Amino acid sequence: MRSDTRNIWNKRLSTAATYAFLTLLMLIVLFPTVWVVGQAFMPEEQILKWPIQIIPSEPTLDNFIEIFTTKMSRQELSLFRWLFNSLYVTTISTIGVLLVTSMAGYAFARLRFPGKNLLFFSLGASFLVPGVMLLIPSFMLMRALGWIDTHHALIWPPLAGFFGVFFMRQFFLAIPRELAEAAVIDGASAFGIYWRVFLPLSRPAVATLGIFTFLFIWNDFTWPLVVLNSDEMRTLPVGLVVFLGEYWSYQGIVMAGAVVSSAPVLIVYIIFQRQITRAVMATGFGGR
Amino acid sequence: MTSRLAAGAGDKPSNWTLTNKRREAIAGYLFLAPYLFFFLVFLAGPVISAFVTAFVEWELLRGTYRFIGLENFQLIMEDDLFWIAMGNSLYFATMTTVGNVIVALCASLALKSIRLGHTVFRVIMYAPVVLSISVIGIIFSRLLAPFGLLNAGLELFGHNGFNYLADPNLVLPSLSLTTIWWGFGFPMLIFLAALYAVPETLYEAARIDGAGRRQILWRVTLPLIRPALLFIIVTQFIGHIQVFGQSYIMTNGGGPGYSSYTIVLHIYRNAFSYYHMGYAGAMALTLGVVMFVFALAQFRLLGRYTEY
Repeated sequence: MRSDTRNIWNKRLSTAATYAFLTLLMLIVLFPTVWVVGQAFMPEEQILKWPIQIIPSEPTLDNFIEIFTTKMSRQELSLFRWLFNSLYVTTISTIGVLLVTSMAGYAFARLRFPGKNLLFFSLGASFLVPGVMLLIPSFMLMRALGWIDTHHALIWPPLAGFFGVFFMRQFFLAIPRELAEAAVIDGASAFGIYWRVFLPLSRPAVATLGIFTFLFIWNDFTWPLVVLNSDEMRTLPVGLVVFLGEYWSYQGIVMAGAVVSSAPVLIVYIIFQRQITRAVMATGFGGR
Repeated sequence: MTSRLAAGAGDKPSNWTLTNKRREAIAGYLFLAPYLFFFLVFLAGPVISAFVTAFVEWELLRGTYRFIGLENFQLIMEDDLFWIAMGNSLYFATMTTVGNVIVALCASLALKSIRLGHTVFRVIMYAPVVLSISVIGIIFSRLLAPFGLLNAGLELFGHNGFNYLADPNLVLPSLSLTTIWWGFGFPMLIFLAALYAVPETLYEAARIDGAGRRQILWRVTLPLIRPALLFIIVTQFIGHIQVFGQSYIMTNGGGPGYSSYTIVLHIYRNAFSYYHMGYAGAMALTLGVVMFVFALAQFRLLGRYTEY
């Protein structure tokens, strides 16, 4: 009897400790975010105060107006240009990745042809090559193609990534064979079966792969830094670092820049968090 | 109905199935063709050229390109900066991997044991993972500045604080903490998936046998999620040894002095500031070999006793 009540108390205590730990961890993640947003809406005089102020006493949009209207250096550019570049490059590249890898995944999952397994494993071996080894040869390739400082250099190379092929193949394998057989009997072509039966059925998988590809290309830093060198071509992450270099002493502007460039991805994340979480837990995708 | 159809298909003359087979094979290659094209151009080609580049003297500015055998690797042996940078990267990767695994493991164990608020905690803790390094770098160079948020917090406890990014001894641990803040959500989700896959009956059996919580953790939980642990340790280490953006953005490319100068920064600088393509390629290959050796060692050490 006494050990029973002790057990209950032990359990309650450990639950309380668990919640305390998680809350602490969550605050460590949240607090810098709150601070950043606060600074972005703060007038510069308040930012300079010590000790640091967290809540803006008179919230202002000046910092945001400044980063969107200031023309940068000689090129008459604003942050809008980089936002547009990022959006343009990422959208086209993501659509390309989805089309090309889902077709290849379909071939590996559903069609029989000589050399299939050998091909699949040779392509898969590319997973083992670390990114840093590809940096220089890929740069030289872009130079040979005349793609330095063009958006081609950002749009096309992601289409070679093997992950999408693997991911789509796994999904296509799980679709019941009978559905395809019905389409064959209806006289659909191989492409018709892929386009009208398999692709619509795998909408969740396509969406998940699309979100991850989008985030991956949107957030990339090293590659755009290497292949783009004029201000008007840059994407947001690189542009931001270059731009804020000029404004480094104005903290409010720096923080407004951080808020503007992370808002799109955070919105995508909040909307699709269920799919993102499930995909990461199922496949280990999204690792760095 | 379906069985009769299947039998009917089998009854067709053999040359019908043969042409059908051929048509399927052609369709297969056609479906693969676009991907294969991109793969050969943007992945297979650069991989082959990565191995060739390491053995040539390739100066982009002077336009020289000639085969020099192992000379690049001899230069690496004499390059003090290479070894400083390699040491920094290894130190950073070890610290960040260990920190990430510990934080993620604790967080996933805690998440698994609660129900109320589970989603909120999980969604918030994973959120930094979707941000780009430029945002993280910008925020944390402000947060870790002498008059930044962290020192303001320390002042509440009467401490004068530190100059995190300008102190040679603190700079790499500070970059590592930044990286853990940014990325622990990912291993957390992987561990969480692994924890959910452990059958509840095993915990019950252990409890009936009189095992305490600590024993259950060390004897049941951790051994059973070892594959996930191994996966995370190897991939995190490989990822973090290639650290670049943190130093590039937060410490002006490796400062103070060379205290946060990393190996990828050294490769980047040699390739894209000095245009020593061959030499940088040789360093990249060396780093690839180092990563391979470490991954192999981790597999050996952690995958050794998998039977129960």
